[in-house]
Amino acid sequence: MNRAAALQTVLRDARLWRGDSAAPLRAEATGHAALDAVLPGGGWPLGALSEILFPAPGVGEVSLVLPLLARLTRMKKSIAFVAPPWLPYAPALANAGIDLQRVLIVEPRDQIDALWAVEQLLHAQAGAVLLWQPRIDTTALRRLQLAAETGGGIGLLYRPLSAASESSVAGLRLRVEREGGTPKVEVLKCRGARPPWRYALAG
Amino acid sequence: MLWLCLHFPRLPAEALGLRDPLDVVTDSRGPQRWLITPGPGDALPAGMTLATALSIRAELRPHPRRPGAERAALKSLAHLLYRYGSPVAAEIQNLEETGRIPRALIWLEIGSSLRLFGGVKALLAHLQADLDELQQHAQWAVAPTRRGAALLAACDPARHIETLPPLEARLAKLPVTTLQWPGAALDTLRGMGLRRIGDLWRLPRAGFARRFGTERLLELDRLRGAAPDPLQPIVPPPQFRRRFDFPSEVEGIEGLLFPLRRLAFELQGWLRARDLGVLGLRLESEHALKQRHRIDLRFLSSHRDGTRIFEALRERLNREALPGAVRALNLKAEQVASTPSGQASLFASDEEAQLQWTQTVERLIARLGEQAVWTPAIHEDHRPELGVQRAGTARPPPAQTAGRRPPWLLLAPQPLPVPPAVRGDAERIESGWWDGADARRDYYRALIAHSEAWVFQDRRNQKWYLHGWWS
Repeated sequence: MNRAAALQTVLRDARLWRGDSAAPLRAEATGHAALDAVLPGGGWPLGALSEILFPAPGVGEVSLVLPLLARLTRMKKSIAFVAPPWLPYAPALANAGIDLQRVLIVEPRDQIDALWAVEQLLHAQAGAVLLWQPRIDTTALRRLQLAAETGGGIGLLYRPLSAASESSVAGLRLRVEREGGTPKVEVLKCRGARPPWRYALAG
Repeated sequence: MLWLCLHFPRLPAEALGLRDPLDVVTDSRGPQRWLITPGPGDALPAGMTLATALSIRAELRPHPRRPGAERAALKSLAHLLYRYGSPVAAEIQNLEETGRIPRALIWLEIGSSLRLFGGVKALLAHLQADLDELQQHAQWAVAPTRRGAALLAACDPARHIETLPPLEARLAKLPVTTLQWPGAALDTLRGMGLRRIGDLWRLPRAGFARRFGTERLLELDRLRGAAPDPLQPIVPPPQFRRRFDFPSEVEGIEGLLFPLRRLAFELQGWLRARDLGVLGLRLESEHALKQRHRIDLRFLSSHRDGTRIFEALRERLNREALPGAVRALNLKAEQVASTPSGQASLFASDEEAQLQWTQTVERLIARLGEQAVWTPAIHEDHRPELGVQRAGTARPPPAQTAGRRPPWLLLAPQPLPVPPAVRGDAERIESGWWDGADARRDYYRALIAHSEAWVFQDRRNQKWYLHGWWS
């Protein structure tokens, strides 16, 4: 083993804590190069809950995750939309490269059923589970985080901007807004590194 | 031939769905009533009169026996055990006499399946696991004759005898009262000083036949394999349809679970015996005033896992509003298919994950309803609202649409009060003139507040509509 490799092995050791740089974190690339560069682990943390805060539909909050979903379905992992506010449009998903056969849409009657469904799906090792909930309490957030840890998948929670002031157990919090027609992403919180950054989402 | 015989001493109670030992089943003859299943503890053996039993334990709850339910339960058990040996036979030995206890017996010829299971011990372990899943109490014996195995299973259980001479020696020691013979005959034998079965075998045959009848002589011969013993083999039916009658009406889900579990595992046994998997089920509950409530359940992949069947049914029942107390349950396999082979393959982690996912989705469907859980597929239609459909389990055709489409669609376009500030060129969609849903629209991207919307102008009335979000 040469020296560089040996050093890399030491650096990857979970017991080693380096104050400033990114801790070794298992993550799945977001597919947006500029965002991957700033996120610890280089993308959406695996086995964790991430929050996406957005002011209104149509600001680019779905485009942000489409590359991730496409890659997960290509890796033969299943993804689920739980309680989506509108109809996830199949032709658009297919155009983004998502294998529709691995997509599940769940429309529960109330929040209790929605949270139950997300937990079940995360436990069943879903690649990613997307949940839309305007209000959600800390206990529920903890349970979702735990379910994501158990199954090793990615939990994505869509919340209104007003939730930014509430504290959260989510490992990653992003804010998406549209400025002058271009979606902008701001990292509010991420585990293992210091926010914030802002960057423009292409397309 | 090597026969495994199973005796089910608590079958009369189990057939009625009674599990508490305080619930005892009674048989009656004229004014006499006696227990045919034992009560709690050793003080209340089967065969005791009900009056005596009640004087010992006043809180006993006696239930009259239902021979029809017992026969049905025994038959389904026989179907369940079909995979362990063949032929399979079942019989309820019943003597119409006061104080006699019926014997519910199932025989399996296991001589030819021993190598498959790797010996009697391994076979019994498998079988015991199956019976435990059903929470079914049983006694067993293995012997080279059918009658001999039955007698051992009922009176001297857990014996494994492979050849005739030791069997004969063992049976010879059993008291004559273990034979299901009329009381008068047993009294005569006692009067003659004949106490053990071995004593009977030593009697002159002609004299014995004259005195007790050739039937009894034949039975003695069959015990030790000296006479042929034809049987009527049981074969699982081509369709699975089971009914469970409750002794009294059952309120709430809790009381339904035990019989439901039983039905689920009976289905598992039937599927195993026929080497099939289930895809669709129908559970029908019967209520007062001939009301029926029907539940159809669909599985995403064919399987024969009793636990999976039971849990899907339970999850579904929890959400179902039954019209009232339940009198009976009917379970029917609506759709069966072959299952993928190699259920326990060595490198099955991928398949296992897939199976876990499938089961989870089934659980979701069971709780949230079939309408609430679906997989999208593309439908070839230029009208955007018809461009998506529910795939169900079918494979969607590979399809690509022409223009770019937004990830969010409003199923019903929403009228916009003022014309929006549109950007770019229009995408014209004209379609549907043939089926009445005529559409002539110009689609644009537009900024509404800070959101990018997908809007169209209806060219028939020039009005503007919101149809989606470019998220």
